[in-house]
Amino acid sequence: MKKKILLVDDEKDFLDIMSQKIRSWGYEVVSASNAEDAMRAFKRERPSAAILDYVMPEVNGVQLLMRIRAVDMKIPVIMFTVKPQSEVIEDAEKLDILAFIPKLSPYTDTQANLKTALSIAFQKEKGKNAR
Amino acid sequence: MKKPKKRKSKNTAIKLKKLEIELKEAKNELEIQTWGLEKTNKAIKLLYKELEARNKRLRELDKLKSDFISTVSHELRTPLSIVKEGINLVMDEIPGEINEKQKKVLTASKDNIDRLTRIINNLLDISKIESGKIELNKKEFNVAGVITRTINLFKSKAREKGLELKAEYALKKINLYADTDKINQIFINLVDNAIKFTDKGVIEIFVREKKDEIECVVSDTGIGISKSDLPRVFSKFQQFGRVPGAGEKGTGLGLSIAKGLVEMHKGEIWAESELGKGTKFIFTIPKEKTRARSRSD
Repeated sequence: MKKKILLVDDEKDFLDIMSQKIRSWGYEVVSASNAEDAMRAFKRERPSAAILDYVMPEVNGVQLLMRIRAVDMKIPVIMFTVKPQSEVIEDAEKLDILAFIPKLSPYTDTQANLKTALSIAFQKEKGKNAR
Repeated sequence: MKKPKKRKSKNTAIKLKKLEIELKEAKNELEIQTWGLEKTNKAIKLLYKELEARNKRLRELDKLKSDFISTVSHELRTPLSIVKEGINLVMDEIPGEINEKQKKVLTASKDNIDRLTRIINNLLDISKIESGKIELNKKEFNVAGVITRTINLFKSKAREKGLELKAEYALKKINLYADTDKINQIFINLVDNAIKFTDKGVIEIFVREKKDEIECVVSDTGIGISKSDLPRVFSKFQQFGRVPGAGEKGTGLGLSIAKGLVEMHKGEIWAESELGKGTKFIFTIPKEKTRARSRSD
């Protein structure tokens, strides 16, 4: 059975492109463009991992992550942002975030980073289950 | 005998009269000068007021410029990230197959998105530095970790150009009390610049612990900088390219940003170079102050 990923970003074009990409890696994608829809999808679909955008209007990625953590403490979460800054990373780390991926960097490949982060998430899960 | 006495008193009277006239003249002169000074004072006060108003307006304009650059940069990043990821998706042939010619066009487009991203990032950074908006978020960290991150970031870019990218630092921990992101940015800008202007050889990062400071060096075996260009190497928008036509196009801001960030840490940065023999960029970050801050924290 395919692993289900919750992808949240307020930019619908970005959601569409990244959903196609993530599906091509063999995952199922559930997408949402705001925090309310994301929480509804999260409770309904029970995804295996979540990918959240940090910069979103009204409820940002960290605030959404707090809501998710109130329901599920274990789900691996990856966060996207336009320019990572250590303060943001510190905030996110407190909420047990798996990876922090810059959305636009001239030096790194966002999709490759995301693919690696997802495989690490499920490897860790496998490790936990094996124990 | 009485005559000379009379003459003497007459002379005294004349002298007194003269003094009286001189005093009157001096008084008049003083009055004129006071009047002039009062006028000048009024004019200065007016000018001061005008300068204050202009200064206020300039500060407002400067803030407006910085806010504008910041907003535009953030607003540009989102659509750019969508375009870049869209191109990546097509290049990975997820929506359908593409031919080699199409791949080539898309690769060029992607490279130019990266170039545009660098320009936006640099504009935002320089505007923050100039407006004093950057605050240092200092903490203690191991410099080796920052260097490793920089090397990992540029590993593939250096490999593509056939360059060796390595770091040589003492195996023991070299701790620094500074802003990690900013120190990382300095290394990124210097290594990026070195790769741009080096076609063969090695780019090396050295870190040395000195008595009062940490000295960091990014050296390359590139085309070097001429003596006449060296003094302007950290100036904004300088794209002299070391030698005409050499190197990739940049924003002309990377080194200027590095200098601004080093100076924010009360350090120094300079370049040593000779045309055709490579370049060394050296920067120092004071250690004593950082230790003192570290203790008080």
